[in-house]
Amino acid sequence: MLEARNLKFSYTKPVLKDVSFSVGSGELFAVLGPNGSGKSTLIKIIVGMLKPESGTVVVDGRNAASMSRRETARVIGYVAQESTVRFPLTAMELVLQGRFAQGRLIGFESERDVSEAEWAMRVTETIEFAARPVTELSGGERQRVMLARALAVRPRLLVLDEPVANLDITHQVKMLELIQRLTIKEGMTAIVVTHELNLAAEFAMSALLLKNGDAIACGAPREVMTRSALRAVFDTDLLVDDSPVSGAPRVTLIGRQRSEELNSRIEP
Amino acid sequence: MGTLTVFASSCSSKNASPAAARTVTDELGRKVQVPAQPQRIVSLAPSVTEILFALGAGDRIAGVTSYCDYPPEARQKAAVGDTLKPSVEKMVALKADLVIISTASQVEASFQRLVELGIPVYVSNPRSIAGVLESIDKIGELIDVRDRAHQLTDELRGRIATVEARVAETTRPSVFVILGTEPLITAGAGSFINDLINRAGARSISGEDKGDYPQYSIETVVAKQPEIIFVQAGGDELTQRLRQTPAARANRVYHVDDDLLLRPGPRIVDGLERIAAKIHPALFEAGGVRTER
Amino acid sequence: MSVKALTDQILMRERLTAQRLATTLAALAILLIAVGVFSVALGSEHVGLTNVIRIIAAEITGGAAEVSREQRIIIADIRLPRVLMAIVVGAALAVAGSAYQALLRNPLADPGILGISSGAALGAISATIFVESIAISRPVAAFAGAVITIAVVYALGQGRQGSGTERLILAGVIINALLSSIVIFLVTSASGARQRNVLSWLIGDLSGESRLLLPVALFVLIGIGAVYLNARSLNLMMIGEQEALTLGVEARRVKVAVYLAASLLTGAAVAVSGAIGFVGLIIPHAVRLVGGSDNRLVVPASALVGGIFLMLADTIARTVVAPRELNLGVITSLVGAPVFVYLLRRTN
Repeated sequence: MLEARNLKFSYTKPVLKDVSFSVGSGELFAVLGPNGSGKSTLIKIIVGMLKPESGTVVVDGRNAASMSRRETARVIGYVAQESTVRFPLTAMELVLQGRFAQGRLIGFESERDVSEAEWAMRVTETIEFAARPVTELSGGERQRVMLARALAVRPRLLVLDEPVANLDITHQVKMLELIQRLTIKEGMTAIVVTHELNLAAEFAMSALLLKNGDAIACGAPREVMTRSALRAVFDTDLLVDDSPVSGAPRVTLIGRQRSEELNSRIEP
Repeated sequence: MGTLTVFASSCSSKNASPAAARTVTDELGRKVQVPAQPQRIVSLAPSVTEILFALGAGDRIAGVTSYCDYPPEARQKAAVGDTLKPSVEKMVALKADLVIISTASQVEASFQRLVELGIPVYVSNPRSIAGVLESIDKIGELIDVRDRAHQLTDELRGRIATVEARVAETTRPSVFVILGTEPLITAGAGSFINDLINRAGARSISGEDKGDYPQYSIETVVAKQPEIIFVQAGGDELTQRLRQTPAARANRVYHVDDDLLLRPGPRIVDGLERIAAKIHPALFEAGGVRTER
Repeated sequence: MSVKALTDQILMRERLTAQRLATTLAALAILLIAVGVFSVALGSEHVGLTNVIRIIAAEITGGAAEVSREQRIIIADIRLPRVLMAIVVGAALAVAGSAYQALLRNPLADPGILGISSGAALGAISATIFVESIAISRPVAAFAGAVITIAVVYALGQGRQGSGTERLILAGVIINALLSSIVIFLVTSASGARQRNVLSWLIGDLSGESRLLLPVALFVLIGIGAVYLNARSLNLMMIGEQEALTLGVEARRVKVAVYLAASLLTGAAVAVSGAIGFVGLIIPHAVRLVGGSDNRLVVPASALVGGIFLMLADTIARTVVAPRELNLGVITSLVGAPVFVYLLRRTN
């Protein structure tokens, strides 16, 4: 579905140094890494906000650089980390914005646009407040409306930048379940940037681990999220074992003091 | 002021036969087409209103500004607004056949509109005492009362000559005239007020300044050491700050009625007589010159 | 259609439809015409309503109305051009306001508050002083002044975290103060006779420039048209420029086009009427409050409501102390400043 080849990018100093990876069709793909590791830059390159210095992104077999903005917009749905909405657009009006690339530059949305938007709002359980101004919604509700807007595109690739960062644990789980359902039932591919290692391990089919602009590891969570790799990337100690429920890697964070006790016990 | 139902009461335009028009040149050199005998004159300056009344044409005035308060009859006339933004539609409703404005009261914006609407606009532009007299004569010609105007200007000329004769041989003290206090505004070389000071037997400390109404700082005034200061009513606080001047030390700070000084109409000669009497009290004590009218 | 059915049609619903847009604009257009006739009928001189309508009809058809010459001049040559000018200026300012608000993602943006009006005023005054003879030079110079000012304010308002509301408004206030002092410097150094006219124009005045009505109306139509063509893109831009990009909006092109169009509108309005404050702020807000935030509605409805508002304000300005006149800017500020404070408190 998506293939990134030798991506390089720098502002004043290099942010991405030769990153390559591929995401299979229908996968839920997690991008992990500490702050400043290049996650956001990578995402911006994938959705076409930034152009890489060198390297290529291939989406659905087509070179992204050769696609027009509207073409890209019809393939990729993007949800930003946080959107401050100062204008009281209704939830429905906001979701209909997802149909921009399908419609004319002026004029009104078609029947089809409206039904796609309604579908997206049903899927995200936002249809009941379709007529409410988004300025009056809670953070979780607004995040789901923004997801609905991206879904209204009917994208083949969904890109989400920290979709659960501002949500409580109930909504975090709900959001990832929703994304997972979309990949399974709708055959969408999803790329999710997150700091929630356990959620990523639980829900993602594969993961990319970034540090200082380098791809440290890429593959199934079990292969990528090893104790040594995570320790090196995040520069802090942690314990990785198997979840008793799913068998997925389970990450436990440990303070510095505990870390010394632990290391003296398990590393003779 | 409420709305006036002018149309209901005024006669239709058929009765007032349009008099033969003639072309005059106004005081800015513009050619203006005016009726032979304008009957519905709008005056947009207090000085012009005073001239028209002094020429006995008070009954031919259709409208004045809200500042036109002399003679008292002027207040009975319809007001067309202030000098800055007079109501053009009011002037049209009054069927003005001549509008007279003065460069002393600036009305450029409405001026343009009036010309566009085909209402003749005469601009008077007196720059000196002689210019005021000339302006009176020209307005007299404009409204067809030439003899009356000559009579008036002859009389005024006589009074001016009397004052000038009295002060001819005397020393000329330095004078500072305050026209505005915040900021401090005085009269420059180009204004008729400067001419008035000279004729009153004095010299203005701002008489060499270019421009009509230059702005002064307190420092400059003190440095120039005026022997006499004229200030409008209410300038007391300012006088305090000018106490380092010879005028203040000698207690020669006088109040003057601005209307007599600032309006380039017939009463400017009253202003001249008052000012001259203040500057040279000894020469005028004997009487003979009317200082009150 | 009953009043209730009509308001039901107009009030904000789930989304804007073509039908709701058409109903709203038609209702506003009728209101505009009604208020227009009413404004023309009111003035320091009384002219009966039937005569007013007769004269306006004669003006449109080119026929002759059976009224006195004075009535015809007052209605057709004095009041009508002025009322039309109020519509044009009100529409221009309100649409410029809605455009700046969408572009800057800030409902408090307004050509006056951002200093853009001052920039246009500086351009217009420079033109008056240096190239007075060419009538059209004033709108053009005002346009240039507006474009340069918005560029500077936008650059100054850009922080490391993008442009925050406070930062942008602060930048506007500072530029406004700077430009105002340059304007005052130019005005005080102008010769005496011109000074008071320029000052009066600065506070806002529609009585003068009727010969600029046609070119300015043309400028304003082009400006409003350009903003309207980008209305749907602006809907996305006002949520976030980067996200709009990913949804297929050519953000840079939209930004340049709308900034230029809004500056053209501000420049045209300022060139003929001076700086009339707050119209660009309160009108789009009122429209959004009733009809929702979709710019396909906000832009054309603001044009109509802005025209209606300024017509009413100007009618008040020229009638309450008739035959003298109040400055139009005084009236719009008296209404606008309290509304601005209310908005500021609400958005916090």
